[in-house]
Amino acid sequence: MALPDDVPLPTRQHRLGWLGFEQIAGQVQDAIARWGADRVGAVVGTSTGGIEISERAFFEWRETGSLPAEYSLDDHAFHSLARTLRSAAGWRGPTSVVSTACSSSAKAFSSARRLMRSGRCDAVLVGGVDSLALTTVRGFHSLSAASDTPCRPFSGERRGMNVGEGAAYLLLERDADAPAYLAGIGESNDALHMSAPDPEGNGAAAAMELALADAGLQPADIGYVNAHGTGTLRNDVAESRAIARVLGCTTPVVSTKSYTGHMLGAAGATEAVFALESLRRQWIPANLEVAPLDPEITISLPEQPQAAALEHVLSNSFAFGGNNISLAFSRSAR
Amino acid sequence: MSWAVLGQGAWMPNRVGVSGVLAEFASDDGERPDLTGYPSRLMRGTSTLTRMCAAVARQALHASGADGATIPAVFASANGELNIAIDQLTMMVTGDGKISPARFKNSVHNTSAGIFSIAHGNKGMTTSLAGGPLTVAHALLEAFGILDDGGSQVLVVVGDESLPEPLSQLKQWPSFAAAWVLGREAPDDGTPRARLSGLSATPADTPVPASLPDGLQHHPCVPGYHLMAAIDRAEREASAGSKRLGLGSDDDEFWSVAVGR
Repeated sequence: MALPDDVPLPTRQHRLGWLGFEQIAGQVQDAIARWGADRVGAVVGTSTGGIEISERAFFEWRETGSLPAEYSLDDHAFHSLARTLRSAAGWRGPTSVVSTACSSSAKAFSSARRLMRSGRCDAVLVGGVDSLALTTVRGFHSLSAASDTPCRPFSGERRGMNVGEGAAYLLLERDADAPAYLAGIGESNDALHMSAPDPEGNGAAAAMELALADAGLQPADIGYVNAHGTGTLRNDVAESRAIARVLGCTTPVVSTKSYTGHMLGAAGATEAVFALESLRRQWIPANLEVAPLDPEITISLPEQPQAAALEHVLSNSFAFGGNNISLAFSRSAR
Repeated sequence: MSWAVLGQGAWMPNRVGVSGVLAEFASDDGERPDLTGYPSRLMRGTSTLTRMCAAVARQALHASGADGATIPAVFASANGELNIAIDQLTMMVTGDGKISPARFKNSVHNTSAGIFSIAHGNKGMTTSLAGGPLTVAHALLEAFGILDDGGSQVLVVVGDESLPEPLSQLKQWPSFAAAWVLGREAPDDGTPRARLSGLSATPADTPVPASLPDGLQHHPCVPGYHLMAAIDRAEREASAGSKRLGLGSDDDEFWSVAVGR
């Protein structure tokens, strides 16, 4: 895919964000045509913004005593990509940015739904973008949370996460005839620790219970969970306890981070796409390299892709600061 | 629909509280945010941004009587934890080159929200936004959305700290944070301090005062200062009518809100 010459894309985050956006740009234009530019908005999630250009600028300043002439803090800023997309695509509704670390683009769904429920928008582009940066890669190593080999969420031999990068977008529309629907959202805080999850998964369980209640669903209605599943020792045990408590131990649970790595601020939107693809295809992917299973983890972890009759699915996202969100998606409007 | 302002808080270096920040001159007090009620172990390794957000959140909660354990909270900052980001880059090129895990866990944009939820035992909903020059407008947009959606109260906290070297070579402003508790209803003991209504892309009809603390005119959250001043005026001048205050713009997106009694 080629990048455009006429759109400023000064950072890797901008470029990844643009490449992802190109895939949904046609649907966004269609929404603008039907609703009007003022009635279409966007909420984009990112954990780090364009930090990689500030990293390079800082190292050059250490070497030479001067910042690069082309460096701009505005390009690093969290909101820069969303403004670029708004300017290029032509929607004119509110365009905001959520940054709650690894839950950022899942939380963007909540902000987007508020824009629609408040009557400010009829369609909202929801997205998430993050690019690899020294700060995050080395930071997760400092916490001994990163694996040097491909991550294996929920496996008894898991060694941690892999930092990934990328972009994902979805278009929410009012009263649309759509392949799937945002049925419910549950948000909670662990209120316990900045970087470690509640070992009992209480905050995660609360988010799932709130999402079910918001959607008017029972635990037995959920056919599949796209787990946060980072592959770290503590997250996976805490999340599995939460899922077991809320949904029981027979609902299939998959961490698609075994395919993508942990895309940080882009993870929530990316995993929402996986969850929606499962609904559309009536299919559940496999957990990669999950065997041997961890005896502390008792939830159902498919080791092979399988066909499944899915009506409702959950997608979990958790983050530093104890920030939790669970999204419920359904095949039909509720 | 109008929302009641139940309390507000503010902090700048040597300017503590709304009255201190709005005062003509800085005082000698308050070089650091007052963290009473926040465990020192929790605050260790946090930035000035997180500390001043914690302080102003507590001021607004205290002024409103709202419960920090249950209130939904919207935090917003244009640049977030840039000082910690630069600290981490410095660590990479000095000593053993390793990042401190204690700094890394406090480097995320939602550190202030996380610290708030832990300190207040808030297991509900918090979020963290960044909107460049629209940071304050988008924080209010989110807060209004929470109230529109049935929430009874919401805490809004905005702030940015001064930039570290070498970024300060490009631009600079003083550290500043402000907070508000907004509610659907007036407080039990009488009238609200002010009411906010009509958050929209309507031209403002209130010129902002030219006089500001030094350097604050460059601050990404400066609309928060003007909002705080307008609320303070509405509270003191009960007979004054509602005035529409600009909350900033970015390309052709702009926001204003009406402030009155």
